[in-house]
Amino acid sequence: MMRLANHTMIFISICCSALPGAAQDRPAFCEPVPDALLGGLQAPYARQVAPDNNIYCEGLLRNPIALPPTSVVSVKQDQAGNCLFVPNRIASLTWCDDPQEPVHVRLRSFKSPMFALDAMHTHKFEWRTDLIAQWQPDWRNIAAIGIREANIGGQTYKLVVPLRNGAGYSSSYAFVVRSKIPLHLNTALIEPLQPPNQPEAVAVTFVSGPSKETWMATIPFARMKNGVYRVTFEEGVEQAGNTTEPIYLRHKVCGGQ
Amino acid sequence: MSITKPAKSDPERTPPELLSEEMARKLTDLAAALRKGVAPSVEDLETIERLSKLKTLFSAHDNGRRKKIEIGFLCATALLLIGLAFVRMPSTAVDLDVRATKVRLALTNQRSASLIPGELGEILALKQARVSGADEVDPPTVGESGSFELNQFVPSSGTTTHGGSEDMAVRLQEISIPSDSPLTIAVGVAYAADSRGLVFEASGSKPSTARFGEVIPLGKEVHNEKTVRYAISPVRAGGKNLSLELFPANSERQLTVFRDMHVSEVCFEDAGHSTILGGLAFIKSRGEASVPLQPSDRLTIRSASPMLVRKLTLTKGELKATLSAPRATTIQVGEDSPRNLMPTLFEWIRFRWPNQLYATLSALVALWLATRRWWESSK
Repeated sequence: MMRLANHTMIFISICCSALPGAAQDRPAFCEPVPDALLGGLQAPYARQVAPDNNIYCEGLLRNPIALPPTSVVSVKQDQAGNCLFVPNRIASLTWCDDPQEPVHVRLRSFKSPMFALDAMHTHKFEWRTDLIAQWQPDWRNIAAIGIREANIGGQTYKLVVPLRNGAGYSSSYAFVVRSKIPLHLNTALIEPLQPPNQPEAVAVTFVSGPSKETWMATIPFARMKNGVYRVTFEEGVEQAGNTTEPIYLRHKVCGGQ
Repeated sequence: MSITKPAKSDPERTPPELLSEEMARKLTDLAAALRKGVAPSVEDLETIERLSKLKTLFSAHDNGRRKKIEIGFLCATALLLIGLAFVRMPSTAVDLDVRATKVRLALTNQRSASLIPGELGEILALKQARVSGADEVDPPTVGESGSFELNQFVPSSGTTTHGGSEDMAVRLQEISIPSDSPLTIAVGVAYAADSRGLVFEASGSKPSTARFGEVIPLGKEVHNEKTVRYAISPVRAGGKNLSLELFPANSERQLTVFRDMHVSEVCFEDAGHSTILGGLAFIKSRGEASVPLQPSDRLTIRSASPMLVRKLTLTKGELKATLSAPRATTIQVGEDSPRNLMPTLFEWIRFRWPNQLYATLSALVALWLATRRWWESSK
């Protein structure tokens, strides 16, 4: 299977190099996938226009075939109840961050069909629900992550901003970790980057995520100061020492909890 | 006296044959005359004597021609044997079992993007890791100059731990290499005051990345006693010329660096010097069992198809490489005037068909002797 995956990756890379201008009509923040690889999909990933006339990308992608390292693939604000997208509506994604900072909103299905959405907005993002309601209406089956760049102490970091479906705010964040190897993650190492402070280890309990090879844990950040935290999920030092790739979490408390 | 004309003229028959026949006929006539009581005439005797002299003259001429043929045949045979003895095979299968202090490998494009020194994805526990040549370090504060050192955490006395079963070693979680661009990896022995480890240098047009986990204490004062929890802080270093010095926590244990990795080039040299400590080269198409490699031997091996590093291990401060080259085009060992170990055609034939070779040579010698004998008898 690995060999097949490698050969397919080689084929894809050849296709990518052979089709340099294939995805030129999409903004830079969108997935750099050649149009040739989207052929045959019922609603291929493509450039779209949001109600506020901003450009974003939405549609279906092929199933991922690479073997990524153990990493956090989704950071959402914790929301109770079922959140379903219904057609012919305007949906909104919100987050709590500096309102002038543009955030790259990235949605990916956990399971087939592989719905994908990429947008770059400040404050919140609104879009029509026709596609998402058709292909992946359940918010729980979607990996959502907000990313923006920030310069802290002369270094550039990619900050992760927890996203929320709809209005409101919660300071409990739901993290989803994807790993191909079985893990026994039981600790979250939270290292304050801004403001700098002593690191802290928080015991966490992971439950099965929305698809196989995913695990989910929720961490309350209510008592944490606004700032940037380096968050790593890991096994205890008594164990082998597997960890996720660290993320730099942008935590900011907003009203309306 | 004139020579009587043969009964049947045959242009294809040689003069000695014609003379032999004539002489035989004369002798038969003479024998018949003797049986009848007729004494042989002087003319008959002279005729037979002349025929005999002529036959001797023609035979001497024929012997010269035969010798030329024989010499030609021997020369052709000698040339064939010299060719077989000197012309080397275009390629051969080679197995190497080498102990060295450093080996440089050029990886083929058919490779995995992930390397983990250790067995089957096992995370490697290190006493110390030294990193240099990193273009990017996360967190940046760990190594702003691109060089840093991670050490196994040593708890200070008086600290109370949770259970006491913590492993304080630095974890090497993964080394990621670019899978779609040329990459050279040098693996050598790293030296420290009290231990030996592994040097791992990756050079390519795209960056390689190493992921470590460093144990850090999370202290807390409880009832005037310091209770410490530990966590693993990830450190990632990436660079196009990334150099790692890894000192395993358990230096007695064998460390497998690679297993079943395809490479296009192998070099056992460092700064112009051979890094070989010893070993054996098995050349499949040669008769010899193996060729021993001496310390400082320069070993040159090139292959028309990718070579397979079956395993590369660090054992007690020595690197051991087991390598197979199914189509090696060059294999040389030695110092100033290296010895070419590529098998000759003769060695190859002797290796592939030893019984048939000796049987054929014996048959050829027997055939030649029989031919000579037949030739001589026919005169």
